[in-house]
Amino acid sequence: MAVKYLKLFQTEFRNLNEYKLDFFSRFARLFVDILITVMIWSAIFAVTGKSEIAGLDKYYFISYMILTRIITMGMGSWKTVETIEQLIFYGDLSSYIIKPLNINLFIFSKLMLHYLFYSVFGIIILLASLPIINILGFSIFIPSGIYWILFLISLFLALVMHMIFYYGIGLLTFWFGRVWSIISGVEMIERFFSGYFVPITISPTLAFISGILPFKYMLTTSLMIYLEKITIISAISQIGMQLAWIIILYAIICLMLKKGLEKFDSQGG
Amino acid sequence: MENAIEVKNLCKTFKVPAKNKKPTIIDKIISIFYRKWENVDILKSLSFSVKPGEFVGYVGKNGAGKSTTIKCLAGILTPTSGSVRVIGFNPIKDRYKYTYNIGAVFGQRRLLEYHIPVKDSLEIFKEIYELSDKEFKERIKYFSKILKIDKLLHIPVRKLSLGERMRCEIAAALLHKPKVVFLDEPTIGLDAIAKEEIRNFLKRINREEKTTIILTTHDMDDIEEMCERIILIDNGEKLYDGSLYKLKEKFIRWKALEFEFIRIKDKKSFERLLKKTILRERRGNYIRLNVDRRKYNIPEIVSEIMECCEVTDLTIKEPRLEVIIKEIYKDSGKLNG
Ligand SMILES: Nc1ncnc2c1ncn2[C@@H]1O[C@H](COP(=O)(O)OP(=O)(O)OP(=O)(O)O)[C@@H](O)[C@H]1O
Ligand SMILES: [Mg+2]
Repeated sequence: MAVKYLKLFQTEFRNLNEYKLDFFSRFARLFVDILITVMIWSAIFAVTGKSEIAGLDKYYFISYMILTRIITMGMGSWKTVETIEQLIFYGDLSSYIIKPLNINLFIFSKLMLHYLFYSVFGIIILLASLPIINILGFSIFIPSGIYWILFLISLFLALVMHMIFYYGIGLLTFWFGRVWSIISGVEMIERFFSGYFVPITISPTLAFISGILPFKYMLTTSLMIYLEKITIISAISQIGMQLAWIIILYAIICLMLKKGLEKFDSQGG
Repeated sequence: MENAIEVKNLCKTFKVPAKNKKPTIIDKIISIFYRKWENVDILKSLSFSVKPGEFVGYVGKNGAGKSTTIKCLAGILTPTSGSVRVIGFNPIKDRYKYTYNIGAVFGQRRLLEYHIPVKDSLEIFKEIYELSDKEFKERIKYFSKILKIDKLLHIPVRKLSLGERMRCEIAAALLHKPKVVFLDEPTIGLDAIAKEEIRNFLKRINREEKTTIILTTHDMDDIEEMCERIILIDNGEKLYDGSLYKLKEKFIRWKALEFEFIRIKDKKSFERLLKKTILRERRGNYIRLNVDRRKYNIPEIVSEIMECCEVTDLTIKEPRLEVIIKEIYKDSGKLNG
């Protein structure tokens, strides 16, 4: 049973070639992005003379910022939405509907490689760049054993959540036609509430709203575990929340898919 | 015996943007944000059934609703109303189980992965349909022999010619020995030899594996060579459903008689003969006539020819299926299956 999805996942490896250019472009962006972020926030700390922003001192804050950039490398909102849009809008989904495949699992096995590839690389980059970051005069926080494990688990769940969320956005194609144009807007909101631009603890209002929304479990949670800013017990409960959100989001996309397939008109031949 | 395919009052409606004949600028601006939609009925209460092992030609003009019907049967489109049952399954509700039993080829769409060799694509199919290694090997061997795909297996699909690709796609669609096969224009754009090969292959599968096949095409030779039964639709409605033979019996009005003679034995009866028929061509001792089957009996006309001329050669020609079908479209208002 699972073999078929494994096989589909394997097939994606053949597209790895296409990742080469994309990878270098992302790498360049990542590098510049980190540099700018670190420079701006160092300056803010220097000018304001504050010892803590959003409950994090400079050392943790910079670590937080660098880390957000690295781990969101694997979160392919565009890739996910475009893959699904292609399947639905151009009717390519037809060729898979007529096969004994669970559509969700089929799509996940198509997207998985992208997420894994960049996440694994992100972590490798993180570890490999430690000496460079040190030479530049910064240092990054490195967690201890148990937190590493919890971090990796929560990161995996965050990636799954991210994938399901943007899968849902992609499914809107059933109702609205092409949806790529809304990706950047949605991504902006998602990143704002997930703590990509600034830690959500920077304002009580932001923290409150983010607490209700799912987005913080797609980023902040993993970072707080990494930085050992929460206890092991609350880390585990946050991971539980991630699981709960995954179940909720999954239920929503299942419903969307079911309703969407009824509307599917298999355009293009 | 239970029917393989049972379609009852199948209706399919598509939503299309409503037409506004003279849109003002304001209408145009509004239409960016809000569009009025209207429903168009593509299939209008279509009913038919197909017995196991039948090979049915599904024919109609461009836009008649052929592909739409096939998609409803294959479970891709959800019918607006009416019911579809194929080998006991509801294609939408029982999709997962149902799809183990069907194969489909859409001429304009590809089934095989574009960037990888055919063999690898087929191996994915092997996993998807959960075939054993043995079944898979045997099947590939079988296809290699009769579809001649063995030389193509190691080439990525994007490098194949249309005809080569189509042979591979058909192999892919039939890999798991489906009970029912839907083919939407499988011979589109192929040369005569490739068409012939595919026809022979499909006939063989239909005969040997008792596969039920529904095929749409615009090539009437496809129909004549493969299908005993033909369903003709127009505007989402059925015009004719029955054997190809009966279709011809019913709708062929004119047959052509061509003959050569040495001399005319009886001038008067020869003139009479010409009056009954329409003379299309006369070159020396060669004559081509059209006979109206509704008025005259062909054998009688033939014997009259024999009586008044000393005939050396005679052939009876019926119009090509294409012509017959065109005629049917023309007066489609008047008749019913
Ligand atoms: N997704 C869609 N949305 C709106 N209208 C559609 C859609 N798909 C098909 N149609 C309309 O339905 C009608 C039937 O289309 P269909 O593809 O079934 O025709 P067909 O008989 O297969 O024709 P052809 O011989 O050209 O392939 C056409 O008029 C087409 O414009
Ligand atoms: Mg068609």
